[in-house]
Amino acid sequence: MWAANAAEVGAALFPAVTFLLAGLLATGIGTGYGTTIAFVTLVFPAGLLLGTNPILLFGAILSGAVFGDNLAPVSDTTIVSAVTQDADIGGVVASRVKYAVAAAVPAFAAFLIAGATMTTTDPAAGSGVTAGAAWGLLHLIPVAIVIGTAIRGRHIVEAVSWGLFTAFVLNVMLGYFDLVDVGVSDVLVFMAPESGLVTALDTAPLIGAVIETVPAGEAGVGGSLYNGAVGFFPLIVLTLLIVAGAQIMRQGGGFEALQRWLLDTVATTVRRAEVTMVLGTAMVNAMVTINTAAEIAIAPYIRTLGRRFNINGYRRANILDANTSALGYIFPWGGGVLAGYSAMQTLPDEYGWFTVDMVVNPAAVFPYVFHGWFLVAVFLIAAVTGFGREYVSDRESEEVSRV
Amino acid sequence: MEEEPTIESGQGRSLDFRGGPAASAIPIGVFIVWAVFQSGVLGIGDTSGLVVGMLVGLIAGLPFVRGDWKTYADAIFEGMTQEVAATAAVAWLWAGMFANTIQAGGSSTAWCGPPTPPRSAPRCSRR
Repeated sequence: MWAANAAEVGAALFPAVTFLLAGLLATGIGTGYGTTIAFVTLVFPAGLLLGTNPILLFGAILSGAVFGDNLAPVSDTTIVSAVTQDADIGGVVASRVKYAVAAAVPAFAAFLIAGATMTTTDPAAGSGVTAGAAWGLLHLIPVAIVIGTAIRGRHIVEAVSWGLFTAFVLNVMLGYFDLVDVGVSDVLVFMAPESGLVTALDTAPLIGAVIETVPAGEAGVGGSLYNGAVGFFPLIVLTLLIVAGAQIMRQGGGFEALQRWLLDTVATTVRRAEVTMVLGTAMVNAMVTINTAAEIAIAPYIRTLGRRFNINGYRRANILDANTSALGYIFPWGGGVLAGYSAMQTLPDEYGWFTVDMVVNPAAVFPYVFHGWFLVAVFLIAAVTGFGREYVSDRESEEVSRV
Repeated sequence: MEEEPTIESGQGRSLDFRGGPAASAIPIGVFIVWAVFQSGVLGIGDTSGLVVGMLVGLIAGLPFVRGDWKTYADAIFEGMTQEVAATAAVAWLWAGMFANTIQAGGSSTAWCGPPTPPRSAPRCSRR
């Protein structure tokens, strides 16, 4: 809001600017779902107050999520796309920028045009808009550190650890100087059932900051470190099992049979192989709405198909990720759309002026996720024309352990 | 170029199925049907549910194995211990912690919404 106020953004410009800001946040935190939820909760109401069209605005938020999910070095789809194609994440992100920008520029223009021409709601009366704290923008620093370090070729564990450390220090300082309502216990907290020992530790200096006393039934560990890690446990287990299933298919001969069929009937030239890869990823992602799971399942085929034609790791990774990222936020049953929709449904309760008919129907937003569509188009065109096609001889991707 | 450690390792038909190579696709096939049904048809976005789908798929492949089921189990272990899975797991854990720490620090305060009258303080819900 601070940035938006400063630029005096009107209802016409709001979707385009939201697309940029959402894209920025999503690229920083790597989760399109998280960006969608955050923006729907905080930016969406503000936009409606200015009179922005709700469907267009939701489409802009989802587009930003696609952008970040596609490009961010810490995005799970980006990581899977790089790892399964034996390419280093930094190199993948650097090579992907041109496709992302090629889609983002027309998308931004489309949001400007649509923002100016689509009918808007009447600006809601009665609530003033106060300036939010600008301190939050400081969090772009750890984000920039992670992106910069990863692109420079450092190991992803190192890059993210640096970002984590700076984010932690930033949080502690912001909390200590009372600039933002955050503290060490938001990063890590031990919620222990009451006992003599626990009470003593709770009041102790330093360690007391991470200890809280709670009723016995509510004991647990919490904080951002905990939530962030635990959130991925199911996906990690799923990945292990999918890879096990793939191994069975390989050792049983099924993988080779399917591959031979694809190469014989469909993917007979480089161009046809790439188009098959683009359409194949689109199809599987349209059916399996948890896009990371779909991506892991398709990855071996992209890898073998691509390598048969000497397409290098970066190109394969980019083809794999594009439709995976895009489609999760387009179809009404996509995980990203549903995440935003559930956040939106809480808004009528939060804001008195937010009426139920301001909530966007997921089935209505799909034409307006401009960046998603343009990304699909960019890769289809790239496969047909050969734009950005890289062979192993052009540039060898770094080994995956450099990831 | 270095020996690639990942997906291509373990070539060779050390596993025989009743129904030939096509039967080796049963575990993944069952998973895809499950995933499409759960997330596409029913609209349930529960990743843990998909885990169960994959487990059921792996069990479903067992009756089709020709010979000692131990080779099937060994294939499962070999698949699960591949570097791809480990690298992805490490990357996700770190990325998850980072993303959540950023959000906890209230970068969302930069995007605070307007207050609902009569409250005067901005309503920033931190995620």
